[in-house]
Amino acid sequence: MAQRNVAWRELPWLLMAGWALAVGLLLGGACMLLRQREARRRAEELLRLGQVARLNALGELAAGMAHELNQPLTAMLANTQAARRLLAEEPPELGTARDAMAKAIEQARRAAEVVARLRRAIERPDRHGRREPVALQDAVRSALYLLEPECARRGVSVSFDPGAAVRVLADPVALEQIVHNLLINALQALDTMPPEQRRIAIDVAARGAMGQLVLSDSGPGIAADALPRLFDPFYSTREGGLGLGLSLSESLASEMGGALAADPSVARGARFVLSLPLLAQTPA
Amino acid sequence: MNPPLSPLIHLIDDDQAVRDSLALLIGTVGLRVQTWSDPQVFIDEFDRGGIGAIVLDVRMPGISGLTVLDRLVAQGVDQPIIMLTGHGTVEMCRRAFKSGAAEFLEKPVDDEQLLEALQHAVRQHVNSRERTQADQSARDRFAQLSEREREVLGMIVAGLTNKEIARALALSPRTVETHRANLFAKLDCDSLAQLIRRYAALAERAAP
Repeated sequence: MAQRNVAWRELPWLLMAGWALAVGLLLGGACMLLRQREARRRAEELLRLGQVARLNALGELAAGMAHELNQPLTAMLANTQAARRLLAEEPPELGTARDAMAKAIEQARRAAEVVARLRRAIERPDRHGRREPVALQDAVRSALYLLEPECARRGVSVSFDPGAAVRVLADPVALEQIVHNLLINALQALDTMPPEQRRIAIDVAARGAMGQLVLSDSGPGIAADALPRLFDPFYSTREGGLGLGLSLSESLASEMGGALAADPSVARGARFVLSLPLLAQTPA
Repeated sequence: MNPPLSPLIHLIDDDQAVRDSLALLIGTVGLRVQTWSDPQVFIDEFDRGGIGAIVLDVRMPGISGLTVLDRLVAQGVDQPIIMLTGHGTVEMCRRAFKSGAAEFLEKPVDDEQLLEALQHAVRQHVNSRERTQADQSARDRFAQLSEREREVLGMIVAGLTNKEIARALALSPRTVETHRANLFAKLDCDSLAQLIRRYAALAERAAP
């Protein structure tokens, strides 16, 4: 068997280096893609969790409230109905009836105290804090970024022309949650439409002292009888819907000195208008 | 056993305002009320022999109304039990009825609904106690009969005439007639129809 010593110089250094570099780049690129996907997943999760936490807290609050209010209401009803019966007797039992009414009054105060306690509990001390300049376009972009896979999956085409930045004063997380909720609602409304008619359009503009974000969809629109109750808590037109998305969004918007409304003049589909105070108009 | 004159409603709720107001309301139709704040004390102490009904709140600290219901039923308590709840689910309602609740009402409860349910429950309890009492006294009287009298009763219930009974038992018709007269006296019956209605089941069960 013939043997030959290979000198270091003779090895294909360039080829080997090129190969190593290519593998390294590939691996690096794959890692980056994975990290990006992970980051998006995490951001989505966070937003969803925030929402769920808010909704859970609301659900528990509602159940606790129901019991706390039911007790005084039960006592009030029983006392007043007993009083009515006592007064209808021949001769009327005035003394006992009077006592029953006094107790009913006491219970009405107890119910009012429950409501006051609830309001104190949900009034956060920081509810007027945490405002910063945000471009409405940025909020739309990040909400769209999170929901991009969902839009693609449902075959919904989204048109959004950013234009010049409209800067408002808002809590960026709350703002993103509102846009997210509006987008989710639009996506769900479009489920009933044939795939080629599933469109969402988002426009951002400054109107007077307010920055406006208008989100329109080509869905079935809002029934006339649903319109007045649209922002009521626990009102939903969707089966199994909690009915808190829009009510929550509306209270977030008004907490920031803005408003959320449905445009009833729209001919087809649904249109929601979110208004927030423009940065330039707000005294620093 | 010495049942009290008027029915007694037992009301169990941990909230004093609810207890007092419902007791007042129930009192306006002339029903007596005993209130209990602690379900465990109620289970330990209430008079099981009395006539009346039980009003039980589902949501109570420590021991749930549904658990109390299960225990009472397991102990053979025969007072009808009306469940009260703040927010009843269909599932809870189904469970309560399955466990033997007589009625399931939601708080805040309307006076007519509650009072009607209570009066209905009391009527039912009185009837069932009367039935049980009648059954018991019938059993007591039946136990006093002699062997021969039971045989004769069995044949009367089976529709045999005196003559047929005399032949079957190898007795004189006069003896059968004496037995028959004794039967009516011992069982406190005035007519054949009454005798059959009250004692047919017992006689058939005792027949060999």
